[in-house]
Amino acid sequence: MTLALGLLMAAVVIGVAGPAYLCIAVKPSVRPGLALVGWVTSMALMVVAALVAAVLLVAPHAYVLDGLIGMRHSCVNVIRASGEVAWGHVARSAGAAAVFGAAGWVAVVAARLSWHRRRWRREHLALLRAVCRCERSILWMDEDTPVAYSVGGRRGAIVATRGVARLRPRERDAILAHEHAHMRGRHHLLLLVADVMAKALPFVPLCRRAPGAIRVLVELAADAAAARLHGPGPVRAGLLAVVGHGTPSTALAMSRDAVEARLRWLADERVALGWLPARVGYALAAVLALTPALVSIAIVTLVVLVYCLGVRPA
Amino acid sequence: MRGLGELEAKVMDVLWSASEPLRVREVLERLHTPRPLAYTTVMTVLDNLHGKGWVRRERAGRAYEYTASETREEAGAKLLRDVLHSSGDAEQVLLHFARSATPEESDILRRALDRRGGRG
Repeated sequence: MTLALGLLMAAVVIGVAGPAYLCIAVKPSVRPGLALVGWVTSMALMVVAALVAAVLLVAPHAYVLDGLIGMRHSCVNVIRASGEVAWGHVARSAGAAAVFGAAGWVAVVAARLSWHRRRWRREHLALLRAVCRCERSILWMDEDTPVAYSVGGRRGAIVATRGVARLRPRERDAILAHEHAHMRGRHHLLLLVADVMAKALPFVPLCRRAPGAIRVLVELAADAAAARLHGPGPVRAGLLAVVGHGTPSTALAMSRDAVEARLRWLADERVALGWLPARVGYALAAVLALTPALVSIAIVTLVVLVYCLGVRPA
Repeated sequence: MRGLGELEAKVMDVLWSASEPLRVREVLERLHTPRPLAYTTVMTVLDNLHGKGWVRRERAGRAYEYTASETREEAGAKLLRDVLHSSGDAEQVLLHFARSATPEESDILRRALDRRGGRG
């Protein structure tokens, strides 16, 4: 019972307070990939914590697991073991039902959205493969406006126009490295997950704000990856070249604002490069994302202990 | 632009690569598919493409001759225009190198940069 309450509390804390502490990690001195791991881990953790809590709430003899945190013989379990109080049972079932219901809803939204996007992607790729030349696994389009983008998925592709091919080689390579980073990092999948969570559970702050944050972070992570390969200079030049050509009639023209910020970011980031091996950093980020959950469980344990001291017959 | 299926895209590729109008039999000969296709399959595909406005056809003797109704470059330009202008699906499925940002995203970036500025 204590563990179940602790996990529920953890899910609520992560869901509500998550955006606040995760946004602290979005700054030029922290590798954007780390913040990305933090966001994704936090969302996964929230889901897992809520699901495990729901199982513990309804499973018979689940109180045995409270032994893991030394709370097996706590008073809340004694009440449970020696004859049920009806409302307690109802409350536990309701809590579990709410969690399972939410999980089912997320699954439905995920199925719908991914099916919709997969169909769009398939049609778009078929068109691209007919219209473009494929060279070094990149689909080249005969267009003078420099445009580059990537389509995710198992048969995804990077698309670039002749305008990109005509840029200086270092700029062109930086732009393509940026798109390769999206593909390698499975950024399209992360975006899909964020969009699903936001669409299914918009009342949870962590879910509602995930798409915006993750969209920003994948761009920054891809910029950083390109800068590690080719240096920040060519990435900056590539960004400027692509945006400079954007005619006012295209959506590209609106990106100046964001590009301005990305340019400043690239200028700042050189300080942050390579003070920590990437793998260690990612593991650290995942562990840090765990902290709020552990703290929540500890607090609930403490509260239960205090409660039990209070109800113990004198 | 109305979408194309995979086979339709391959047929369009054949028509774009050809310099002259092609009959169904000629399209069939130039198609490289893992499994050999039936004549009627290709005929149906070409008929669909005609219905969607992708190809023009003219009667030559007893059969039709097909040509792409616009060049590969024109089709590419139109496709790109669709990608850049659409605010719905493309915006969500694709990752542009320099994509427009929503106000929320710009806000996250700006605040992050300010945070650094405030400290040093």
